[in-house]
Amino acid sequence: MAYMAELKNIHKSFGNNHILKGVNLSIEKGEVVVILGPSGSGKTTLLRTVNFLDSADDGSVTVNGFQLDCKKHTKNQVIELRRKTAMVFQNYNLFQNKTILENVMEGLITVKKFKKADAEKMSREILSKVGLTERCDFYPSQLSGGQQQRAGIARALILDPDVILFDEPTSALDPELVGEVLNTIKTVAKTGITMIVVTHEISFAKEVASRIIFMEGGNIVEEGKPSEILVNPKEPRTQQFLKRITEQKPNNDGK
Amino acid sequence: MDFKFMMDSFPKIILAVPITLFMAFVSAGVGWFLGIFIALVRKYHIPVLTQICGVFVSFMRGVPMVILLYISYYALPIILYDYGQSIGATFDVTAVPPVVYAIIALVLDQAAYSSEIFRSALMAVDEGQMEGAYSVGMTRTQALVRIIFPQALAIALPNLGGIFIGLIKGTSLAYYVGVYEITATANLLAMPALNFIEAYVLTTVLYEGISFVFNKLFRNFENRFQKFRAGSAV
Repeated sequence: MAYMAELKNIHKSFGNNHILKGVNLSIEKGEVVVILGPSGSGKTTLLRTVNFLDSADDGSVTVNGFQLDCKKHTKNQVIELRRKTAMVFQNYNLFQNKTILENVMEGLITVKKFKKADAEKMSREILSKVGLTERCDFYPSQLSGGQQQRAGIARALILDPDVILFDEPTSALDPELVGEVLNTIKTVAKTGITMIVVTHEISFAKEVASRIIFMEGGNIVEEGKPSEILVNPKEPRTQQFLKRITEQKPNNDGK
Repeated sequence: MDFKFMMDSFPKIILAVPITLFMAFVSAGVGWFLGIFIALVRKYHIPVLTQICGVFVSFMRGVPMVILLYISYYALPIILYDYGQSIGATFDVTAVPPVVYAIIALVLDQAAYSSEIFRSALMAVDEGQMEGAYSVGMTRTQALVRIIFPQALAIALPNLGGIFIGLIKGTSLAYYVGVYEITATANLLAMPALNFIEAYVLTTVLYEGISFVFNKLFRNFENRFQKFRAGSAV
């Protein structure tokens, strides 16, 4: 079976810093892959190589049958690849000069060449699904982080991408607002869209992931079903990471 | 103070306002367009052009405006004439009105100064905005036009207002190359009876008035272009 997304032998360095050391990853249609790992392990970089926001130094990226060599590609190929994916950012990256509605419409109009009226109708529908009906005409700076992130999810979803990438979608949020965003992502996951999620929310990962990948030092250390990885991790490094994270939890909540 | 002189001269000096504004508008229009181009070249490090633009900006900002005007006024016609001869055509360089040379000098000056304003404004737009645009599949040009430029313009406006006011006053130097704008006209009128103080009071009033109007206009633009920025009302 053809994979929906495939990364082969991905290498990436920033200067002398070798971040990704030959990562291979194949994702089937409808899978929700959650990438866990300590800071600096390369999870975010890996995610960003999928849509070439960071172009890998070596290897290849394939999304829904469209393969791109990381060493040899044209601008137009990169754009074509990007149009098969969509991304939700840690800092939302909503267009500051556009209202929430315009943010969601933007891709439809400039990229997919929809008529304005159609784009607006679709955008309003999707914004009501993420609970932002009342906020359509606000600018991003006038919304809470949680609302902005839900708008970011709507902006990604409306493009009907083959793969949707989440880059630590809740890391910049107030603890109180994390829940609403995670709930929105869970709803998205249920629609059967292929997702790659980088997160630190273990309980969320457990609930939503069909596969968990644990990264460390630019390599995939361990992968498997959430029940395997989170409950009975085989690798000592995974065990250590999970132990630290779960031990921290009570302290963080202050209860 | 010779108030009668002032009453008589004021309408005549006002007649020179259009030529002052004409120089300012054309220089800002063309100069700022070049400025945006230079800013983009330098921001995206386009080979060769980046270095040329860097030298241009550094050079232009180091030349006194008056010297630039003189170079434009005295050297350009000679270059043009020689070039004409070399290709076998004769340009009648004396037919070119001095205002053209003044505008050329002002354009170069505005291009250099505004390019730094646009460059800093482009740098001030969050990199994430470009990434957001890329993530929905936009090309770089689409992202620049629809997302980055509007935000950069909002950031640049206060400074642009500043250099525009400076430019209006800078047009007074065109006096040195024989353009009868506000200052030159006032000087000319003052000459016969040596009413220089009166003439300068009048020009001050005029420049102040023009500056005030453009300050207000730019403040207006700012409010319109910055409505999306944090803290503004819906």
